[in-house]
Amino acid sequence: MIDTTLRIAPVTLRLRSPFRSVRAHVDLFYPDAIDTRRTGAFTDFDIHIARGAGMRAWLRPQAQFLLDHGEPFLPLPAAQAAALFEWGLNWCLATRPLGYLVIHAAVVAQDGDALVMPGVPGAGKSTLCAALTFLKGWRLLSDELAILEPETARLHPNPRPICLKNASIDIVGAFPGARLGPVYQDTRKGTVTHAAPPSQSRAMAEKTARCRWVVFPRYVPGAAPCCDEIGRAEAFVRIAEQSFNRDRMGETGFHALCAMLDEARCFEIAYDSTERALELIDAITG
Amino acid sequence: MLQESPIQAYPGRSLALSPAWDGDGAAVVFDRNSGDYWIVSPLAYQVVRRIVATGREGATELVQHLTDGKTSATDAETVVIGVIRELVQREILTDA
Repeated sequence: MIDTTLRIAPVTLRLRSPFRSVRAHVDLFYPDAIDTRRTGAFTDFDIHIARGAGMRAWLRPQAQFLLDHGEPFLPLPAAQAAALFEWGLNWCLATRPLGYLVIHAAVVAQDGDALVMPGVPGAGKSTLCAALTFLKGWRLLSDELAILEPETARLHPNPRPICLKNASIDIVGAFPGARLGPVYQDTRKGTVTHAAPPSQSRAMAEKTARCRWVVFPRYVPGAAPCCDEIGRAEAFVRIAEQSFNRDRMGETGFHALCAMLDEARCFEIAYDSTERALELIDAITG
Repeated sequence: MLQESPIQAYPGRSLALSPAWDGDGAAVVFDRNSGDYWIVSPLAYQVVRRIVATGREGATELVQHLTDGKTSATDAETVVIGVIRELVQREILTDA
């Protein structure tokens, strides 16, 4: 059982659940997010990972994601309750009106300079994000969501577990310092696990960064590594397609994205191994 | 030829512009009302920026402004007229 307030920058949320796996997930991945001083403070989301009701509760136990007492999507098997929390929280951040432009992208930073890696699923951004974090010492802002503040054009960290799928699990599991959580089989995304963000990234969870580089990664088995610089207008279009709330953000989102790109250089890279990808990133950011 | 009536934003549009991003070869025009956006060439960007600034402008004056006031039928004028036509065809601007 868990009923607590979590500060997971840039939001504060209340999390309730009867599942031990959810409690264990919070203990493993958010050891410093429970902040008793925030009890009674404003919460952005009231999340309840509940047990499914009715006959199913006995025949095939399920976990429901409840947000402010509503159920925005279908339940999952109870064994995936903790993963449901992660996916549901992604949905909250991407769709609830928080005033940020939210883009489907991995973000890492060095010395306040951020590297944004937008990508369609399967492009390899989570694996590359984990490699930069664990092998190259970049600070993890997020492996999934670039959270852009329109007023400042700065990126807010959301250092949560890196979601790893299928073949990337063994790759990232071998990285020094990587701590993986339970493996979830047969999810809609295949076999899934999470890698804990380094404590250094969590400790700097309130420190924003400015976008300096945008890289569109593309994992292509057998391909020769290549890197091409692209214009910011082209990058704009590609990023806009990966934004969850661009339509709702309207002109504010347009100017925010323009401001983000204004100080950035943009590239697309193709690679066939993590090592080659890291070499390309080194060449871009070096 | 373009119509004699003024060039202005396509009906219902309220246009905003990205930075010019000189050197990139393209910039972005955004419609506040629909959320649509277009990638445009540097010259098309200048045309739209002029219309955003003035609200509306006669085609002749607009061409003259973008060709540094030269009045003779030059290649530059032809290029500008082509760009304006394309912006009209894309329903970013109108000459109707």
